[in-house]
Amino acid sequence: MLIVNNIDVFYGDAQALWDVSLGVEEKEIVTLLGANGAGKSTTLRAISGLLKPRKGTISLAGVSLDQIEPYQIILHGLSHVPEGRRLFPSMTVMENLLVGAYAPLAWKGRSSSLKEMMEIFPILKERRDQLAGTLSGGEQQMCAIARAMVSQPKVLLLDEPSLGLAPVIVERIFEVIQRINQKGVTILLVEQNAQLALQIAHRGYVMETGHVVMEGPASQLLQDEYIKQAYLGL
Amino acid sequence: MLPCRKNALRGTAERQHLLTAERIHMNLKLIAEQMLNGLVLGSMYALVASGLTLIWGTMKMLNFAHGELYMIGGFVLYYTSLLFGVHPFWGILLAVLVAFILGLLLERTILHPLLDKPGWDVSPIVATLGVSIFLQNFALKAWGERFKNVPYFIEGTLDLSGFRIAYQRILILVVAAAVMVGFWLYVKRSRFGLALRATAQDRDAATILGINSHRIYLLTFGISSALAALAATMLAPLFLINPWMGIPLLLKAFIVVVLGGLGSFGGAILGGFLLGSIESLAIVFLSSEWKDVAAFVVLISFLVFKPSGFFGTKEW
Repeated sequence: MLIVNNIDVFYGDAQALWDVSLGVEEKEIVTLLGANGAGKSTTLRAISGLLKPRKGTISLAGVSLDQIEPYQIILHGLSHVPEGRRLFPSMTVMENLLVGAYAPLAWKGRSSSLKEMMEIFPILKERRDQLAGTLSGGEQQMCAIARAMVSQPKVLLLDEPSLGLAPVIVERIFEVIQRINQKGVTILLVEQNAQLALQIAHRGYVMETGHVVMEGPASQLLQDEYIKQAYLGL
Repeated sequence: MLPCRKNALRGTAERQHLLTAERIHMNLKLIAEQMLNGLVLGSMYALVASGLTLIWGTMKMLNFAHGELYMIGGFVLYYTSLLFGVHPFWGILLAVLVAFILGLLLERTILHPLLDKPGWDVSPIVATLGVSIFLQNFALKAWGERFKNVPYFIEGTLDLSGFRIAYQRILILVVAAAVMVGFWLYVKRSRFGLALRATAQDRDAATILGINSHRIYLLTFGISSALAALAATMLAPLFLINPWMGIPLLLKAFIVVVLGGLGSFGGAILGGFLLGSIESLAIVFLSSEWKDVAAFVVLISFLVFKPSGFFGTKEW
């Protein structure tokens, strides 16, 4: 469904990705593992149009994402929960979610999709009139996921949803990710917590210094000696 | 003899007392009238400054041509009244419209090409300064250096038991209040307002949610220019129209924006009224030549003690 084909990405003159390829099938959870600076977030930023690859192609269900304007990508059913949540801090939770429904179609269906998000994340209902900048880390992450989901995407990109959160909260977030996936949403998950990510993912890719170095079914990666040593700390 | 003198003395004292009371009354009236004038002027400062702060808040740039968009607004009003002899309302409407379109053109032709290029922190300052100089000289060439006069939109004065204020000034206050409240509600409630605030707070996050930030920038510029032109048309009967009328106003707007906090809409309004009041009080207690000194003393104290202004953002 989502195909990244041999992309090279640069920040100015510095190359960050070399010949990165990956694919995500419909209704899959695919995880992208790797250390800090391996290029995971850069890959997601390229998919959602914030960075333009100099070489290679990115397509979603036949649409070339690298050929259209970044703000149009969400119209094709791809939504991105960026690293660090990137909520609008001086807007309320409700306003943040409404911005998520900005795309014309999503705007029409906003009342039902907002209601659905309030059901998945009851805490957001309680906090709806609170400024997003004053939420706790876990609440912010839930708000960011909900904001990306009100556009009713087919594919959801998640960048480090566990970052800086207490283990209980992380577990709660991962449950929600699985729930969203069971509703038919395809998920590409970037995680530092390889153990957790491989537990819920169907397949995984491993990145190192801007290259994809390994790929396979999650169960197989969990058993791999190299992965165990380098990423699982076993 | 003695009691008589006593009476006379008492009479003088009473008269003195009465005179002082009358003087205090007069002074209070003067202060109150000046305060109200300060609010009237302040409301226009607020309108001009809110355009400046709107652009800073969304695009993180200073528009040095803002004063010239104000000036153009004044000239459009003058020439529509002069050439067509229509009611000033149509002149105001046309001025706002012309400034809006000019704002769009400026953004598309001058600023858009610089956006996202290295040097964005300086390049818009240089570019808009160039536009400002061009527009001043254009106005000088096209419309001449003679100061032009626009009559009051409404003649007459409201007299509340000796407390007098011209209807024109009341009109200014009402228009300013209506526009600011209306704009604030629009930004808070509408889908466009939501997108505007989202872009201002986090452009990348807004982009991935489907907001075209270039379109937001374009409209921000148009709206900001329209606000400046509106202020110019409202103030035109009080001041004179000339190619340089925007310069002092832009300086004042910068002071207002510093007082309120760069990028804060509420701050611009509060700062506008504050500056207007400070100036009018300086006129009463010092003299009119000292009003700018008072304004800049306040500016400098803010820069020293509270550089972020009333509602300064942390990004400052």
